[in-house]
Amino acid sequence: MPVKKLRRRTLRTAASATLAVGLAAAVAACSSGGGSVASGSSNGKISGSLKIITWVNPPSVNVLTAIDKEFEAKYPGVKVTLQTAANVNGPYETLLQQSVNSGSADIVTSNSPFQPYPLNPTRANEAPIQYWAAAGAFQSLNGQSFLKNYTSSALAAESYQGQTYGVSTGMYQEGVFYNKAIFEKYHLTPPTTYSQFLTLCQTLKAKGVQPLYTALGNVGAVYLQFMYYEAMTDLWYPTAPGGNLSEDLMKGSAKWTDPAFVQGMNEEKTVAQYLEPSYTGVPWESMPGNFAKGDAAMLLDGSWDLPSVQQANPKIQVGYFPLPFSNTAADNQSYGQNDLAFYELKASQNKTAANAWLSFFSTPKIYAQYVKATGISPSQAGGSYTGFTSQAMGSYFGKAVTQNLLYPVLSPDNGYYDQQANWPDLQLSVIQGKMSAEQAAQTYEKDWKTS
Amino acid sequence: MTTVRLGSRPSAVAPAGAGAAAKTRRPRPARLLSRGSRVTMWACLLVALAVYVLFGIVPMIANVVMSFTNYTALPGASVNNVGFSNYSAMYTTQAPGFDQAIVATLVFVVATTIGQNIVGLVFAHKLRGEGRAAAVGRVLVFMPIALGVTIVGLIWILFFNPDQGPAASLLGAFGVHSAFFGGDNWAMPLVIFVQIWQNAGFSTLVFIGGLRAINPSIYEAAKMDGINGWQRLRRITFPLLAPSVTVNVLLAVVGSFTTYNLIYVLTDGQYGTQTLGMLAFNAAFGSFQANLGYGAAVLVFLFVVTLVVAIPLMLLLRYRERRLFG
Amino acid sequence: MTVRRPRLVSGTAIGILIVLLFLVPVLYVVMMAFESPSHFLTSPLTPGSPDVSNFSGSWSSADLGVELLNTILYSVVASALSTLLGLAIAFPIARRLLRGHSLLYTFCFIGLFLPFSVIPLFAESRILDLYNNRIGYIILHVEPGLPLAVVLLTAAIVSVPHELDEAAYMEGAGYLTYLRRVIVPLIRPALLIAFLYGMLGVWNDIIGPVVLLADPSLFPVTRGIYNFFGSNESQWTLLAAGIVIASLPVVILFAASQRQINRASVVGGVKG
Repeated sequence: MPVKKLRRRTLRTAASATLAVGLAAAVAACSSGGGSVASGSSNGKISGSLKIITWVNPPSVNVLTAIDKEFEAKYPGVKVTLQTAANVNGPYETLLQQSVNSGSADIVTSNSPFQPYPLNPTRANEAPIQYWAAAGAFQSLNGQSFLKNYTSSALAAESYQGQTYGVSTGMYQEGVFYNKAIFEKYHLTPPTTYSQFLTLCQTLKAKGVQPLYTALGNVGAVYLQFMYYEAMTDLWYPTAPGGNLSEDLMKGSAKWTDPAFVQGMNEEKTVAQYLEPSYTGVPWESMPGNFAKGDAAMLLDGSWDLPSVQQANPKIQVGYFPLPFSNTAADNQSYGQNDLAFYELKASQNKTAANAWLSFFSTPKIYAQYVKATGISPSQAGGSYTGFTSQAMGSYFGKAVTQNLLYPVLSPDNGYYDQQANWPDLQLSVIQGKMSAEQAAQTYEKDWKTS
Repeated sequence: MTTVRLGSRPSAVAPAGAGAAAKTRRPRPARLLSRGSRVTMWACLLVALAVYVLFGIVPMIANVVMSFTNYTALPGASVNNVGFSNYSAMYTTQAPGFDQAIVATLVFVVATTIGQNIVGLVFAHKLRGEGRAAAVGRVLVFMPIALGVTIVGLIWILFFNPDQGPAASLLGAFGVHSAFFGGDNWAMPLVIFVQIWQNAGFSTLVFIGGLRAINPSIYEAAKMDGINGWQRLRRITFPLLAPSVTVNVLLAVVGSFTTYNLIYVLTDGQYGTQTLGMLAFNAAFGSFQANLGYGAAVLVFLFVVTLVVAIPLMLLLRYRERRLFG
Repeated sequence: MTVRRPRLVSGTAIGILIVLLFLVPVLYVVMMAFESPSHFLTSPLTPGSPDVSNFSGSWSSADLGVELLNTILYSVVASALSTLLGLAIAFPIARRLLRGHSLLYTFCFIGLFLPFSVIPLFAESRILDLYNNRIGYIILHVEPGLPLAVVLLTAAIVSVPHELDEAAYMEGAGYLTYLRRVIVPLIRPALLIAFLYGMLGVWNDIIGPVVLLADPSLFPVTRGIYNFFGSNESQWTLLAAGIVIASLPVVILFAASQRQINRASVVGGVKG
């Protein structure tokens, strides 16, 4: 049949044409693909291209994009590219590893600050970021003038073995963010003790309101830390003699089988009853939006999500209190984690521009932009910061027990870190009743290696 | 009831007039080609082999070597021999346990292989026709393959969103709540389902081809013998599909052993879905891995396990084929 | 003349199943793509009034156009190359044109089980300057499809009568001409399956783009689409639109080439 033949021939021609075009495009594009990284700047003059990589946190990405544009306006010869990958705990880590190994970025970001542990670092037990720092992947920033703008604790968090490597943007705080309108409607006030909190949840539940909301889908049990880090802060941290629980754990003067830790896990289990059903499967990106539209009275989250809450519902009024696990009100402090820090790769071919960018970012005016947009608790002293987050958090803003004083283990990989204490899955097992809190504590202690 | 035997292979037909001796005449190999042709043949062969060796064999050898070191890919970093410590680390890893990975892999491989083949066969029966409905059906079934693993994964994550996704709402009407991909109970079955959903089109295609190659007159003869549908399937169709079954089963087994992309998109190996392929991926690329020697060790292990499972399987399938086709 | 299909399960039931299973999830995503973000936030299951802003937003923010072209380029070219190179190995093996042909076959067969070793490939790509460019990326993706091509094509060529070889020789046809004019048309089914399989490998590779490419203009769709997913829920309508855009060309192409696939899918005599 002539028609069939024609169609066949047309398709075949089309296919070979596509192939030809494809090959031609490949040849043409080969040159534009570029196997190298940023082109360098000539001495002193700031130009060329600058590549920054980070993970997708929409408020942060948006403000960084804006800051990049302002930087380009100030230095017309530079082109800044901000490359992102989806999730800080997943695809971004792969991107980070690749960028460090191939030197294909100028500035990289990370949210795991340095800790002075393990006490005897060796190649076998260092966290990757410590290893990278010690092996010279990052450019030391010692002596750079912009470091003066930062608080000493912010600098300490980003220093290792005497060298400062990172520019810390600040700290995020975790806890309970509540919908003020719902609280007013039921005449509720923020609780300061554990029993007050439970009563609050029961009241809400009796009224048919979902008390507490969180989401672990796509990220897994790691964000159960909203509960167990807070429990450790409220119940265990106050008992640490030197005020540094992680150091006690590393030195062995505190043990995972401590009754305070067991009590914390049991309380965690009770609190989890007030979470929405199937919270382990709800995609965690949907948390801010769901809370913003009133799915629950309280959101158990980190302050990094607040800008997204505001964006989803500009009219919402939000308040904050740290989840109180203790019945001693004064012990219930906010928990915070140092977050995004910028590191400069030694392999960067445009260090002049990279330094200029870091310096630009550190100027108080630009830095305040960042704080306002992201709601991060600042790492610079002396500024006045306004914004949705600082308003919501009130007097709690900027005051927190930070991770390095609390929990000594970092990344869940390689022999030293590959121990149960690093694996929040055990927390999930306790919550879901698959093992008792005592059993979990014993597993942590039995498995605990400090070197 | 005898199984169908097809006798000699359908292709080696002697040319007319060549006489009885023609059937056993061995083709004279290289003399078939002119000098120039032989050179071309060797040139093409060597280029192809070079690509295979350079990008297939050499990396695997590099993996083996790497697995005995603490290589980190960081330029200028020292690389030291660590003996078998990467392998023992693999065995003792907590994250989640190694034995769990093996169990998960077994479940995953068996379920997806059987599922894909059954589904492929059923769909092939339905969609082998010439009509428009069949063509539309084929497009639908093949679409997941065209969409690619990222899109397929995302479609099902959206569909099984426990918070107001379609599946959740449907089940919610019956008062049933589930975390779907976020819980131990349903994560693995759902992952298996999506894997089969994604690959059904390929198996269907292979089976359609296999069905079309069957001589219709065999069915005529069977009809006259009064065989019903089920017996027809078991005694005639299925044995005659042996070559397609071999291809499908082998590809499904090898594929599901080594795959990680779909699992990565759906659950990242959590809630019991961490198969060996996923473990290998996470070992090399999961959460800030600096010791790539460990990742290489898992890959080597994966390779060995795949060989150990797939080769006897393949021999079995080929043996079956030979028995059926003489 | 069609053969009566064995009626084990009702044909209609299967038809309905196919439509439900394969059409409904896709329709859901299409519906999402047309919802405005605020509507999706409040009632994600009901279609609101159609909003096409997602498509333009998605297109520009993810640079989907370029990524789509990249994806198609990489998959088609790499797979075509692996099929052709597979033929270059398969023919001498099938026709026993060299000593040790069965050894060579086994050697290539092992390749079916080789995992895609990205880290060593990354090291190689840096040495051979195949890193972060299109040609390099394509070349690095040729090998995965090669072993299956060898296996399938060897089996297919064995079924082609030797007499055709001899006839060509007597006519003085060159090696490549013979392959192109005679062998290729006869083994089209096997070529197609090998090509499709190779294409799938490149299409579905999510680690390759991260490890072997650094320049965003070179990224395929798998890299770009996944970026969306880390954002908050109000961007999911954009994501859905992105999915629709990214898959539309492929689906159309596939639907249009049904006839080709129809004719070519007789895999019948394929013996492993």
